[in-house]
Amino acid sequence: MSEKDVDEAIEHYRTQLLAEAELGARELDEIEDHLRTLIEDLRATGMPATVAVTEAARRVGDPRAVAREHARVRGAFGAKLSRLRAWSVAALMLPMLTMLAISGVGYEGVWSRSGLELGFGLVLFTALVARLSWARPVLLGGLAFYIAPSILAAWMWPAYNAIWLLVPIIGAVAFLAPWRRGELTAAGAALALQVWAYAAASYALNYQYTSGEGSPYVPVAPTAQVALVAAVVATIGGLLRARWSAIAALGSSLTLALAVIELSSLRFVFSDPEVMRASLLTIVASGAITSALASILAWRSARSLLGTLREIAR
Amino acid sequence: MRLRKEPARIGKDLVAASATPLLLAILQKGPSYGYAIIQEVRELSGGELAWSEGMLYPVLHRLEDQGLIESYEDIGETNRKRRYYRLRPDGRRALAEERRQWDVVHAALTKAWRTA
Repeated sequence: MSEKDVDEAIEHYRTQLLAEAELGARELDEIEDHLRTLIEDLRATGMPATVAVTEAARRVGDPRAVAREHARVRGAFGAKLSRLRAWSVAALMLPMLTMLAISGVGYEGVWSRSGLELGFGLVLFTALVARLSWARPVLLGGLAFYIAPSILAAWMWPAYNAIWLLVPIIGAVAFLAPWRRGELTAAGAALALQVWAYAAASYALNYQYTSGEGSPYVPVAPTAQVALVAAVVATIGGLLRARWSAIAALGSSLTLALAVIELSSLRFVFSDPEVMRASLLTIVASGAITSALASILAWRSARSLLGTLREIAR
Repeated sequence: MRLRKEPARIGKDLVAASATPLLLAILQKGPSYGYAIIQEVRELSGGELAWSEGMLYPVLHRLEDQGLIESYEDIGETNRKRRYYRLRPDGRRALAEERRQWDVVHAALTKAWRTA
């Protein structure tokens, strides 16, 4: 067996690893270095090259099992979703994106919060299909949040048919949820919690009032605007795994708590006003809590003060 | 002629449970890389701890994600680029805690076997 044959055998092992999971160059190079060192050591003991290559491959392990274990563990934000789960969530996202495009962007225009959220949704859709590890926690946090408001909407306004939105949301959350321990890393959990807080701030801003016909609509809880921006900043910092993300998350938590106080002045005129009021305050307050938790996790899981772009493409 | 039965190797669960403290303890002595770590584990355990060598890296990556260790690239003695791992301050603290827990388990087992 020539050196070229050894190289080919190692290349074959790399190909088998790649066939099973999307391992990064770093993982592949590391395993290749291990294989080469092992082959060299075995040959140094007098073992023929052919036997050394076979023995090294056996000791490193079945490439399919090794690749699966790497895929399960790797990813700064958690394990990669399987293709089946990722594409199932993508399929369930389509009606939600369509609804956002029709009822949100169609009503508010492209240059609006709905337009921005539709843009985020499309980016997330693409990242999910590409199985980037950050797409999962971001979607999980965002979609899990909307379960409670959708149930509330289905109950309060049966004609709104919120059930049709609720079914794909619950389905997508079931596919995204970390059913096994350790499927989400601390950085991934921080992202999910922070996006929940973003959704809570966005939800709080839906409550607006006007002083009269033709007057502009003003949010009941204007502090939620600050919380929304802080949540976006914290989410970006979370994606970079930057320590400053924790400070932004703390800001988002505190401003959401203030938004809850502002919203508490609201009086509902629908049936069951107290239930509605308590639900609204609980939903927005949940964002203050998740953002505080995200702040702790983001601080503990940060890579550095400024973070790195390296994790985003994984 | 009677065949001597070879003692069974350490069970999979125990191997998995001891992986983190072993890796942290090895890296406490200084930076190292995957292949060298496997060799050291084999030496330390007298060949009793059989790790599937390819499975070492996911464990190292998980410890890195947890912030217990960090990695960097350097040129190895073979003149190839090689990834080295070293312990972080959180890793030292985690090792101290692991050690405390294993000491408790060890002490409990010792007492239990003495009275058995």
